[in-house]
Amino acid sequence: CAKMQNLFRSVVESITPTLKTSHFFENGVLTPEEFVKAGDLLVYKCPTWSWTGGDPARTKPYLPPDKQCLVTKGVPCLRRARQVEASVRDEFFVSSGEGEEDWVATSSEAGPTGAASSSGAASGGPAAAGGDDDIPDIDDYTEDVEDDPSALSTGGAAAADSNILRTRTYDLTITYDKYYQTLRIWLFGYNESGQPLTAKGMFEDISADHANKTVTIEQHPHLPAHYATIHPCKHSAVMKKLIDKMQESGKEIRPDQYVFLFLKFISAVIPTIEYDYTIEVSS
Amino acid sequence: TPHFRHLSCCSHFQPWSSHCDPAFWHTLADRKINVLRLHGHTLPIFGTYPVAHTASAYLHSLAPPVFFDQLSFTQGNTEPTRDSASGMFGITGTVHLVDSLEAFKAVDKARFLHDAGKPAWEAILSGAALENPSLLNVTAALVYPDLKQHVFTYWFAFPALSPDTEFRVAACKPLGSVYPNGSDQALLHNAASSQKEPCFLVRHRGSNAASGIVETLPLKAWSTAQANVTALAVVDAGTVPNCPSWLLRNLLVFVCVTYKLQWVRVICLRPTVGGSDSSFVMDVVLPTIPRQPPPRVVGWEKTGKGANGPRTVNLAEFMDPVRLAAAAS
Repeated sequence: CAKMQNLFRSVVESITPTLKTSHFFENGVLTPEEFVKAGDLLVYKCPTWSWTGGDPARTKPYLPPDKQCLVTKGVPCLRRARQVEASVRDEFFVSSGEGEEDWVATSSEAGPTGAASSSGAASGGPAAAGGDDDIPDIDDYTEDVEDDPSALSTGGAAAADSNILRTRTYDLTITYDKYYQTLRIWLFGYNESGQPLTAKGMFEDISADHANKTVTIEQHPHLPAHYATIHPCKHSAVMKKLIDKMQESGKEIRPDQYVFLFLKFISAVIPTIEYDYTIEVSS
Repeated sequence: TPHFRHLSCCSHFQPWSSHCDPAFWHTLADRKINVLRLHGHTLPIFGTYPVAHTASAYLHSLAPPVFFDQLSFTQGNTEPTRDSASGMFGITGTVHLVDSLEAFKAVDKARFLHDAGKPAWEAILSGAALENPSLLNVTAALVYPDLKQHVFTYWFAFPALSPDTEFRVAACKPLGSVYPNGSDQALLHNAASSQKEPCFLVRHRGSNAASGIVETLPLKAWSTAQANVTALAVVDAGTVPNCPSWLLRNLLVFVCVTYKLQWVRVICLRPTVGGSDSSFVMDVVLPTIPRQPPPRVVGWEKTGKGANGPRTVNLAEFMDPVRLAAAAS
């Protein structure tokens, strides 16, 4: 049961000594200090990302109080993952040697059951049927408010003439996972009208390999809410592989570039969420 | 003063789009249950807005968001100037909670909006906006939280003071064509990325505009430097080409009332993304706005479908302990 696993992990985490020395090159993992440096570089290069202290009640002592996790909000997501999946898989996995199984495969503790049953549970509720229009506005309830000719029209028939596009958006956060000594990505999506997506709706924006295996809805470590998250148990192995590959091809790679490399890797998992990352490091 | 023979059109402004994340709703529910309880109905809130967008947001002209999150209710988090850590500007306001959908519908929306816009108008009349122009950027929300069902019905307003005669744009040009000097452009962009306030003044250092060297001053320097001020610069959050974002509306009203100008040059500065500079310069013809009576207020946010009405958020899947437990087991 995932709950026991979480409890187990939080206990282990509490007694696991914080990683002090860098094992970036050997194991593809990161110390909290390296996370802060790497996050600083991301925020500097990509101003749509920023640090947040999150909920003060959840502050982790091994990170600075104002630099608990990285966040970017309102990121556009124009298409569903399956629409681009084939091309991304080719681009990302073909060259990775031992194939995707290596990191896609879920360990027994990861969340296939969680992911499956959370969408299963949803099917009982009002917000269940998937798709974007599940949670209706109170559509029939509108009011006469004063006309405002100076407002640029943003919705409805008038906006159909303009170039303004309505699209799904996502909030993304990157946290430091002390247990796996790597980064972890959390996401929450909104439909074209700005309403929260169901878990099922969010899974449409995650590559199929992950949506049904390694993605779960969990309590965010720094924010007072539940978010979708990709289980990080294989992250360090993938990162190690990416680091090795870059070194083999003669490219220099530094621990403070970890977040860029991580985001590049994550872009294969959420291929249509157009978050910002400078292509500093390309493999 | 230039002669405006070709008044192209009345100016349009790109509205804000409220963006409330799940942490916002969790915290709102917590405040209602543990702080306000049965009797309290208003909470001060604080939102943030970015001026840097992803290239994709510009490409598709996505509505500029105002973010509300778990920090929106933090006591003392009322300083609306830019937070240097996040690079975001702040917007302050109030959430009004009602206890039923009937009560929600019964609220006099015109009066609500008028009251919500009052602080901005008073900041203009008192001169407080001169010291702190962020006072012009305000919000108010009406919320019916159904705490049992984890359903929230809400309607945000971003009050804009609306003069009887609209602002008209006389000319609109790319920044580079008005300020061809590269060092001027760099100076303006640097100011836009480092200023605490979302607006500032620009004037020519020499007597001759052609010398092309500009300098920036805080808004409050206007009264002493007025003769030399050549433009009002705004750090603009908009994503539509040549269309300023909502913030400029109340700022222009401020300029009308305070300085009684006939026109003003406005520099809308946008962060450079992907090497393209979408900053632009507008000459805006201003109406006369009397100090009495107060101008009407507009600014209810439209729904995703362009209608005037509230939105509903159902977070049962993410907030209901029973459903979360079932999903995790």
